[in-house]
Amino acid sequence: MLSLQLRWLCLSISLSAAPILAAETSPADGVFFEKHIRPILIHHCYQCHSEKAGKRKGGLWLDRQDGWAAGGETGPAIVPGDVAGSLLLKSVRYESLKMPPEKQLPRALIARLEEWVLRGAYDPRTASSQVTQTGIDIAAGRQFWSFQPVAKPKLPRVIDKTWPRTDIDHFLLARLESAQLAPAPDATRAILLRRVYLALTGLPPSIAQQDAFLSDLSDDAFESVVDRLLTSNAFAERWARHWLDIIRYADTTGGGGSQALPDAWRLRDYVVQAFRADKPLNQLIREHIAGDLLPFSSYTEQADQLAATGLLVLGPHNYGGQDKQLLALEIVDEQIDTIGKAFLGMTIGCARCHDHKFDPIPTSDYYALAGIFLSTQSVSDASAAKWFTRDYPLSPQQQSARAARQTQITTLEREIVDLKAQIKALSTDANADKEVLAARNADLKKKEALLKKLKEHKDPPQPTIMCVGEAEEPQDTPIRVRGQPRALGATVPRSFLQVATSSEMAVSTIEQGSGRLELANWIASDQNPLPARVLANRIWQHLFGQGIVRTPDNFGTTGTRPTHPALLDHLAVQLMQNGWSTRKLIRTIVLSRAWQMASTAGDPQGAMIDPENKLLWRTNKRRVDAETLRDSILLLSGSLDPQRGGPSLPEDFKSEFTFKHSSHKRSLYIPVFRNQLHEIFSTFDFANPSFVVGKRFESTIPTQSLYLLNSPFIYHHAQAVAEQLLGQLADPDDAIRRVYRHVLCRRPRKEELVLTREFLAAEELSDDVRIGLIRSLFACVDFQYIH
Amino acid sequence: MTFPISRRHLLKTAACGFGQLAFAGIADAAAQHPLAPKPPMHPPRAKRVIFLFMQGGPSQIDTFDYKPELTRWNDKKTDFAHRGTTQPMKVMQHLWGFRRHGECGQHVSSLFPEIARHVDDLCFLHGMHTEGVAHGPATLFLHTGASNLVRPSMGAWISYGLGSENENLPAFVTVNPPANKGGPRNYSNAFLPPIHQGTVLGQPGNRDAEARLANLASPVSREAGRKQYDFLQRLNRIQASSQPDATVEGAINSLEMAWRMQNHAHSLRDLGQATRATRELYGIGQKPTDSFGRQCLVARQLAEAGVRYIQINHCDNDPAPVWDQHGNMPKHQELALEVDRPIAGLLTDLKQRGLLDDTLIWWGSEFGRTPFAQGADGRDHNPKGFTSWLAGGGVKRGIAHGATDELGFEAVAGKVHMHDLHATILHLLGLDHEQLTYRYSGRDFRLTDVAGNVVHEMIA
Repeated sequence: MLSLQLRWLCLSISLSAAPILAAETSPADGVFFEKHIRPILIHHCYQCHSEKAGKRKGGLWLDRQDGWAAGGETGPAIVPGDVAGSLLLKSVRYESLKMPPEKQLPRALIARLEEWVLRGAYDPRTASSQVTQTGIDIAAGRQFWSFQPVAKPKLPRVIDKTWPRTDIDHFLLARLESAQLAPAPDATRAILLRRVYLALTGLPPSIAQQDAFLSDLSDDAFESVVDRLLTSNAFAERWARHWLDIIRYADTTGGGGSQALPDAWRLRDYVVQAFRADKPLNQLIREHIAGDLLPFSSYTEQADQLAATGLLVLGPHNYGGQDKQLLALEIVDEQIDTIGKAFLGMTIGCARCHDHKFDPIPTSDYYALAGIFLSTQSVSDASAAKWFTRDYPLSPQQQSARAARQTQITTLEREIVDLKAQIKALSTDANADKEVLAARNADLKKKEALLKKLKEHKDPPQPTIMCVGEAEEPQDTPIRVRGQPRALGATVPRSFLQVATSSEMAVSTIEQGSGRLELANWIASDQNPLPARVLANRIWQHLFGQGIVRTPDNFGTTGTRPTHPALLDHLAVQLMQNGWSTRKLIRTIVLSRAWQMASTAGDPQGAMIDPENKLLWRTNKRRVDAETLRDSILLLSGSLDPQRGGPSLPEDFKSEFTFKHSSHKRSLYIPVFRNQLHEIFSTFDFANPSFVVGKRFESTIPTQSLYLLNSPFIYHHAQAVAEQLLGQLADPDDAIRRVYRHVLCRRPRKEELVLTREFLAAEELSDDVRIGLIRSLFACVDFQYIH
Repeated sequence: MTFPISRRHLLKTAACGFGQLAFAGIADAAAQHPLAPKPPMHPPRAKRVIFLFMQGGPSQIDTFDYKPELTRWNDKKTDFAHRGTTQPMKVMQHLWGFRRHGECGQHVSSLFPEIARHVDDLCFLHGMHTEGVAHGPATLFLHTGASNLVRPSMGAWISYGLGSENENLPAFVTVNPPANKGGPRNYSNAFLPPIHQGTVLGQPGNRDAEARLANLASPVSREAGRKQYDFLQRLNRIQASSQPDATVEGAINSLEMAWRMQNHAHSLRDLGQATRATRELYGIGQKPTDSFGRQCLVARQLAEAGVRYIQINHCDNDPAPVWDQHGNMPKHQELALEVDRPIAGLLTDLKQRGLLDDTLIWWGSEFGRTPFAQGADGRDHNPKGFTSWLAGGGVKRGIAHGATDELGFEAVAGKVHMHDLHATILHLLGLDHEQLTYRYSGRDFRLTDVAGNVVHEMIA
């Protein structure tokens, strides 16, 4: 009580010392209102004093500023600045009326209300809208670079006309020349070959492949390597994995009570197949979002398109969470977040509780999208214990067999009815032929037995696909004020992001269904300024190590600006003009001279003027990622299992914690457990499968080094390589050259040869030394980095 | 006895044999090391935290929160409706007797006779409350301040905020963490740089696993390992000579640190080693206390070596967490026996070594249990009111802050929300929970989201 009195004292002192001017408000007042006051009013007052609740007890509205200003039957509820005299404050202090009647507010909340009134009772709410009126100017927002329509830029002039080989080179060189930097010399052919193999397939070239390329002196030697790699399975697997990073692929839900996702692999295999077939990227997106609503020409196509929508239900959810309303909203939030970041480079999730603080995305846009996903069936049933699944579609053979059986059943049933009628007639007819009756009875018995058998027939258990469906009653959804599931604001018609929808865009309105198909078409449109830029940037980043926009999942105002805006638009236009073909864009980029620069040398000014290499005066050196590390080592030791695809989890799968990884398949086929990643994944910066990860961390930490120095995996496979290549050392130098070419894809330098010779010759050649050499090569800089 | 090894000390004495450490980048790399110690925001009261996680929700009213009213109500149905239950529930009194202990006279039940001896050093928080009624969400909330969204763990935030006291070691270590109920998300860096992720010693959830760092042991003899390491670093030198840059230096330095962790960080290598007397103090080598005793010893050794945030876990890998007695409350007896002596031993040991003054001990769980019975002799989850206690680093000694209602169900006075506890622990470490932010996905994130108040009443 004493402290309360003290606070009163303080308040009155400050009141008298500095009268508050209600007219003056600052952004801080807005923050204070949103953070502290609005929630109190929603939770404790709206029940009886809001339009939403349909109650205006005492004639008082507390869901709008003019409500308390005008006041109810007892006069104005709040007088800004007047802590002692404001009726609302007296009531919550239980000095006059007792409000809220059931229980007094905690002191801390009363103090907040007092502070609010003292500060002038800033309140942005108007009667027409119960949410903060958006201060967002969409038209102005469209001026931001990423919302501008993509236009084909002019090729810039360059001084050195001999250097550029492709259009890309013009864009890069022009920027370098304006900064007075020179591009690095070309990489050596051996380095280039390893680079292109790892970038395109994630696997190093064999000695035979090195020989073939190095001995091919024709002009198109590199081009033909590129073309061969681009159509390989290994390419599809490598680039599918990049895609899986941005759709946060996993085989378990993770979190508390992690559940297995036994059908997730269908989505993964669908993505691999998409890259193998070079499916247009906008079509890939369309199928991810609305595959269940697209036409199909075969049951396998239908199955693929259903599997594509698995993306929407693959999130790290606590399915079965207790607050179903909240869970539904969290699933939708995660869907919006994933699609926003992965395909639009937008952090739309920020607008769930308030207008986006930085980007022109009002809360109403968020709920326009949320309406679409709330009209989508993502969970199995009302208990939301599981994601939505559908039976794998039937093949035509299965369908006709099933139909034939059904016809047979119907016919039999009809015949049986007939027979029974005949038998009844016969048995009541004294003149009836007994033999005929017996025959009819026998016939009936036979037919009944057959029907029973047909009805008992069970089809083999139907495989399932995790996917989405349409909700029974698609509808628009109200804004949830401050993101609170039960605090409903105005209902928003289902629609898309206004800022990325220019007046020129032909947008179909949502008339029936959830609106997912319309959303998918809106994203996949050539007129949408974001996806082509976002995807071109992703492809560029996977090839160069850094994107033109270095925040690949954030093209908003808090993201970084493109280092080469014209080049990015050039690539985006290329992508669209070539039918959204990944393969063609990759080909264009890797055949540029820019991509073939050395990583080690370069303009000495570069390190001073542009230490981050934003202008690309040389190629970025890159750490091999977890998959490349594992797959390369398996390939080099001859252990890589060439099998592709299929279920990730065994049928008797129990838990991710007891699971023993024994597969030697490529890494993308290893199950991705959200709670327990494969050791090599968790050690080497695998993408966190709970998030959209456009760019992985590239950390260099001691636990990685310990893995390289001591792990059984490295030791075991080094041993296999040593046995193959270092068994008998008739000519040590020859053997050394072979292991360097095998592991590092290049000949040893002279100093390396000398050093290695010494290491091998130091004492009697033991297994420790042989294996030690290979372990060292696996751990050395030139294996760990792509030059 | 182990000592933290300074980098300088190592560089002077370690016979590493790789070019006499004549690596140009070493000093610079040390300066840029992402775990280099960072100054706190205000003078800290504690330098490190040891969190003793009792997974599953020990019952407050059977351990530290004495409610004599329960006896009067025993077996009677009462209406907890005003506290949020839907029907009258049958009260079950505390199953163990309480007694006052120490000079402060705080109550402790007969479950913890050894911890009771340290009661004058403890600061009880009887008004704890949290979010999440199920283990999964509540456990994530306890560790990350969020029950569903993927957020960095408290230890990762502290690593990010303060760096490591010892360059040979990570700043955040968790020993045999539970693999269920959120598993690695409970020690994840989420979007913080990965170096702040909790380093796991031992197997998640395996109470019997020895606390070890993965891949610390060489597959070959020390001599062969040395030769190979020497060769490798010389090879790296040759390869680096044509490409002077920070990434490559970083890789070489990381190998060097790994080598030192493997061969020179005795604190890691000798974890769990102790004199007979010390082992006895922790109850190591005796049946019920051996497993948790080892964890407590390792916690003290890591604290001594300069790890900022150490979590040890009393848990297993069963779907139902250990302290989760929906039926069979008497099992608390067995569980208490496993941890009582080790925890008391840890407190004694830290005190003897003068470490308790700047080491904050935190005992707690994701929630507590109900005073009403579930089935014949069980209790249900209760996030509305439960007890945690703190000791050491800057907290008041021998006090109880906050209280539950007369039946021990809901926190009614001195309420401390989990966000408040997080804020207070950061505060004791010299970090302001509102300032410790990380920009991700276009906005600043923090451990306490938009909540959390430092509880000054518990600070000495």
